[in-house]
Amino acid sequence: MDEIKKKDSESPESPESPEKEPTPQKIIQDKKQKPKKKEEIEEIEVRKIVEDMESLIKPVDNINIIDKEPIAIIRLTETEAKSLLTGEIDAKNIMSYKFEVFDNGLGMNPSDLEKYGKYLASSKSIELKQTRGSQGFGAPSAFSDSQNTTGKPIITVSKTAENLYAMASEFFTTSKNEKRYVVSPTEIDCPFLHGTYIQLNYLNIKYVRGYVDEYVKETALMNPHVTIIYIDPYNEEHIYPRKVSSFPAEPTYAKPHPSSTNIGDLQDLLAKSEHLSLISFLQDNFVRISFNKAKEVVDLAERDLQDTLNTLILDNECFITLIQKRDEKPYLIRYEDRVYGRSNKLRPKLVPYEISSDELKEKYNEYLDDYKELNDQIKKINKIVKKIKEKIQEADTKKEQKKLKREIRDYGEDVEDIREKKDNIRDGLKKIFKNVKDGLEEIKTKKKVKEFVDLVNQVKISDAKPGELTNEQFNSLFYAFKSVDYMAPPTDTVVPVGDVVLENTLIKELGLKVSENLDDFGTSVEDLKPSSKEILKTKKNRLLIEYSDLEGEDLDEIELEQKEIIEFNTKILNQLILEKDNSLKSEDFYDHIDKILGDSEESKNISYKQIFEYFVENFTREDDFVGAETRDPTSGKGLAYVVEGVLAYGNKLETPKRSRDVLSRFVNRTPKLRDTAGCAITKAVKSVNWKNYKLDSFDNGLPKGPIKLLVNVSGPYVHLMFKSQSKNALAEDESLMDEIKYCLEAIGRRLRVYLNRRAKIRKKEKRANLIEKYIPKFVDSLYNIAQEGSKYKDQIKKEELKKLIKAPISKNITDVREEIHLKGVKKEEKDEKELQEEIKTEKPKEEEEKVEEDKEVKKKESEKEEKIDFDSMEDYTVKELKSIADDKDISIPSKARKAEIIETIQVDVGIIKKEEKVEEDKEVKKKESEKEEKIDFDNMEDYTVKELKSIADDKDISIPSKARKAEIIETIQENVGIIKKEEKRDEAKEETIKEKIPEVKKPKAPPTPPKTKQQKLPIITNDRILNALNEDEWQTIKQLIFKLRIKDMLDARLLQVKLKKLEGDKVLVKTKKGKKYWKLK
Amino acid sequence: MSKNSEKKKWDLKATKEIMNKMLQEEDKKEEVDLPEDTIQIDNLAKRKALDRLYSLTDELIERIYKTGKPVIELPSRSNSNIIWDEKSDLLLLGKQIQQKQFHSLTSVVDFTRLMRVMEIINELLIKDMHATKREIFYTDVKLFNDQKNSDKSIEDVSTMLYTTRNSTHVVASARGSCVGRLRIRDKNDIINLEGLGSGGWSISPMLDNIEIIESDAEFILVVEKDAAMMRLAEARFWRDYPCIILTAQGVGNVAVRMFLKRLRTQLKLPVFSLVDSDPYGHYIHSVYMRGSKRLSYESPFLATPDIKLLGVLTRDLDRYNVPEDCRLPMTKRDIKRTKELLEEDYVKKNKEWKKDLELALKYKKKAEIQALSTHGFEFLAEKYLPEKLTTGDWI
Repeated sequence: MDEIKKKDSESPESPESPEKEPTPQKIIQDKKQKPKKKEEIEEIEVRKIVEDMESLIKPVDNINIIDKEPIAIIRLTETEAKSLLTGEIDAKNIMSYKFEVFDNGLGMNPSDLEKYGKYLASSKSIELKQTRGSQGFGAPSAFSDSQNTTGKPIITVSKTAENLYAMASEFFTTSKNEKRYVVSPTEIDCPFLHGTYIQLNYLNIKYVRGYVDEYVKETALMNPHVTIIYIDPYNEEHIYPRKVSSFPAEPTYAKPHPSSTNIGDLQDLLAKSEHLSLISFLQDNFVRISFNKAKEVVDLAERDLQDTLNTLILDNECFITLIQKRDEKPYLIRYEDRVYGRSNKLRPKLVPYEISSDELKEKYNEYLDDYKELNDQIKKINKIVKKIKEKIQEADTKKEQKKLKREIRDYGEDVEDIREKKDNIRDGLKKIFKNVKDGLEEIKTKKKVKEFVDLVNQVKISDAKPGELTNEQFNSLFYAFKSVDYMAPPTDTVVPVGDVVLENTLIKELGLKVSENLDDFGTSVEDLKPSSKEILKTKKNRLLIEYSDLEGEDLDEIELEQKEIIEFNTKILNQLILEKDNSLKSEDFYDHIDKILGDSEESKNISYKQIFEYFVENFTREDDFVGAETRDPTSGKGLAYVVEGVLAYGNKLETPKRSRDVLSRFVNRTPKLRDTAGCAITKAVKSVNWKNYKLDSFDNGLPKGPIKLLVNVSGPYVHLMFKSQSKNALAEDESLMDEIKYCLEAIGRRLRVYLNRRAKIRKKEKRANLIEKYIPKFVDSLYNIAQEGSKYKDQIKKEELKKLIKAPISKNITDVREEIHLKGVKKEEKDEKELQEEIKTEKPKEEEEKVEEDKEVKKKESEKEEKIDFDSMEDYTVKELKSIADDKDISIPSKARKAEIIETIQVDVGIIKKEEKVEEDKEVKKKESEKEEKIDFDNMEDYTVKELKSIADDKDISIPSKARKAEIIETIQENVGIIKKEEKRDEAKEETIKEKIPEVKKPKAPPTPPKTKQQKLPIITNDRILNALNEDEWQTIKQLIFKLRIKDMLDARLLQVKLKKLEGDKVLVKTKKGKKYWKLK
Repeated sequence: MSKNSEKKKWDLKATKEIMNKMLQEEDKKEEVDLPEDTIQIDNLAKRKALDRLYSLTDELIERIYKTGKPVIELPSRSNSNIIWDEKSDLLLLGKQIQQKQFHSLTSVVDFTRLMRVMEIINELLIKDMHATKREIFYTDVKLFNDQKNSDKSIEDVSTMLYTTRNSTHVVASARGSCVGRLRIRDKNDIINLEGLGSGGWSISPMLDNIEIIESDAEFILVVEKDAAMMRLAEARFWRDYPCIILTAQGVGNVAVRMFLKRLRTQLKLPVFSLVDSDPYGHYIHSVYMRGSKRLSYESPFLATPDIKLLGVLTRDLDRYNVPEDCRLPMTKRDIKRTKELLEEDYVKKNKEWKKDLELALKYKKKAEIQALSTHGFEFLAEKYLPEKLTTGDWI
């Protein structure tokens, strides 16, 4: 903090730096003796920029993730403003802020960087993709605000992966939209492969908590693919680790849709167009305009133009004016082959005539009257349609609206008829005038001729060049452009965040506990990673033996099929099917099994117990809810967009006191914090009847409860959907509102299922508690009576009785779990009716059915496993397994899928019996031997989900129960990486190994390079670097790269990293203008 | 007392007639043949009751060891399972069985209470002691929470054991009293009920210890209210008209009803009830007659089917000129109750009763016994009762 303050107090223009100079710099200054003043300033400035930047990046740079982890760092530092700047105002409490942001995104090319910060004249309507503006978010405005309040320049540093050096510059933007450089673009060394750093200074603002931090937090929620670090003015670090392992899809460019194009956009486009015809212009610039559509538009424009200009096109070579009053003179203009100009040949020339003969005039008038009448009719229809459209707005029901719309369509057909009639009139006129010779009087006045030529050119819009339209032409074109119906825009340009990502993000961010859909054996489950990892391993081994030429790379591509996982699971479970041994009593039987299983070596290795425990653990009443819904992309008014929402209901969440804290609005992943009430999203959320979904609501209609609701609207054209230029709130639009509403309702339905289920669990649990409370009393009484006269008085023990009675209670709880389980499987589509049915099934009468069902299950199962004798199974299972189930808290869901029931029993037996194996079935053995050698379970325990979870717990990393194992590992690694740099290395991937090994083991052992491409590259070792350096010459990285024959930018980066490590030890370094120079000591 | 001689002496002709008739009937078979679809409830000796108790616990223990889920089956005492037997004119328990499960939220508490009551009863029986319902409630207030609950459990236990409550040695708190021409023996004490002052003898709940010695009464009068009882006692009603007067201060409790039943069967006297002229009074009468629904299983041991409703009848209000202001308007609840009463089979069968209730429903009026006091305090003892008893004006 102090350091920063010091720096900030220096004015950027200060000529001398009072700080101690590092030795290399002194050398430089000595050498260069009295450098020019400008250069000197730049030297100091550049050094300062680099220092600032490095202080920001250092924490992440130190742990070596700067080139691996998508990261954005934001830092705000607060200093008391210099009194100089605030002389007039009361100097107290005037703070100035330094805003720094770094991201390791693509970076900007020097040429792009040149434009950065300028207002770009481009119109968004040319080609768009779903981004947050063209240069971040309002960069030019932020820049001008910054320099206008503080008078300090803007600092930018940016580097792309292709460039060796980053480009640093310090500048002011001017009112002429140009840059005035304080430090002209300078190449500097910087400690990252690609990225951008910006520094801005602000005054006249006051930092308060609750806006910037909130903004960053919400941004992190919607952009879980980036790690965001925010350091606030109080020096608190807010770290939002990345939560997903993949980037969202790159948005594709989209042409605008005619319906969403406004008059200004069209004008801009026309002005810039180099097309030769309007038709090609329309086709090329807009989506959903085909040749025919374009022709239709132009045709319509032409018709409109003919009426506005009172000139009728008879055919391409013949035109006639339309007179408004009888006493006006009609003119005929047509192309005639004439000799004119310098050429002697006959060429078509426009010749205007005045129609003079009465006969022709009469005919003309006849037609004209009809024509006018038709025009009147159209006008009338237009008026009616207008009225109907107004009515549609007011219509209450959709039915009414539809009816009115149908009326409009009918009128549209009428208009078509009229147009046809008009065409008939035109044809009539054409017949008369096309080749008429007599009764015409040629107009020869040059001025008049030109007027007519212009008129004709104007009317013939189909021949006009897009860039040269007249006002009338443009108006007609726009009218036509908007009158034609278009297909809805394509929706593939929209990139939503995705419901799975949203759910996972919220689970991780809020630390939710979610365990639905733990469908363990019916289908393969990712959560059973330990087991699937094993099969994968064995599969790889097997393949390696079969195909000895397999390379590491190919091995990586080997993946498991679902079938294999299921098969594997079943195989394991089959080992738990017990064979009946008649010689044993039932009580002894369990001991017997225990013994067998306890001795088995394999069983010790199988950590199935942990896996199952993990499942059971996760089926608790503490389960939270998270539901996300991403709607299919839709379009309204020519704008393609997608609505997505996610709602978390957490037992540990607090119920917000203010309604606005419930909802977070996003547009294109950008949080919207202002104008909450006016936003279409808020309004749509309010319009949902939350009571239907068992949620309370605030007075204003927003939902209330321990919930967090995020709604995101994405699309390439959302900027057109905002209420105002400030882009704070989306404008109300019917289809958008509906879309949001549907989205939320879909989530709501799932929430209702969850809440109902939770209520049920709570009830059951209450029941269990209550029953348990009465057990001791009950047993006491029973025991006392029995002691007086029961025949069992010597046989019973109080504790035993209590235990026995208690057993079915815990069973009841598992029952509930199973129900949930089932519901998860059935996609939670059960409604209340079914719930009631389930309640009914608990009644004792159903017990028999249950048994029967079990029988059936066994039957089915036994068909599969031929080995098992049905009769003995039946005897055995019905009596014994059922009591196993009762004794051991296993529940057999009454409605379970048949295969699942038996599995459940087996699974649970597995849990209790430490899941040891019995002597393996012959069948199983055969299968196993056929497939491959014994499954190796050695590493299973190391990587069970459970253990990973406990690791995560230790490190305070929240891991959703739903998360796949890979994700968990990743999360852990990530977090550990951020917190403890060392641990990262242990689990690091090949990339890291590649970097690490050479420096530790020196050149001897080249790492097993996974990619052939990198195999050929020179290996950068410390020795080689030291060889390349020499004692006399200061060398730049460029020179070193050349010496080492490095061709790849990643290797250059590696060289940079290594040099840094060598610095001070064997290598001297000096910095000049941000560039580093090295030489040997 | 000198005034007494001036009183008009009624001959109670009608009463004497039925008394004689009843006396002649002699020992008609006392045992009632119960219809097939009802449950046989027995009065059990101590040992037998205990045996039943133990077999029940054995069953329970077996069940626990089998499934861990204790279940108890007992005859349902819900309305639908209460059957009015026309022949014996009793409310009896049908054969519907109710199952109580320990592992059900609704019955776990009940079940535990039941078990606790069984334990107490077991103790009572072994030690040959009696306890009132109240006492049982106090053995475990925390568990029972309210005496209603313990009462219910007590009844459950007796039905479960298919026996009467008295056989379980649980007795009702003594809330009734009796005066009149009767001599009884309570263990070693001989009590003359004529000489106990106006308070009379509190009916002991431990009727096992009571022995009826002799009586020269001509009828038994059951009075709803203590106040009416006091009036009659003060007037020494039984001196003029030899009788036994009983009251339970409201609905007849088990002890009173049982005692009445004993008197009726042993002395073979006609029984009359004097209740308020309101649906509640009629209900009290019906309880004496056929037993309450709640204790229907014990009906055969408690009911006095041939009890006559002497008054106060609705028609009496006009006949004895009870002034309008002494008649109270019926509340909605009263009307509802009256209608409910009219729905009952035993009321439907008794046309006079039905007529009287319909009359009440028509007037929408009710009156207490005390309303007769408008004609003077002596009116009840000197005019109303003797006249009615003489003319046979009862239902």
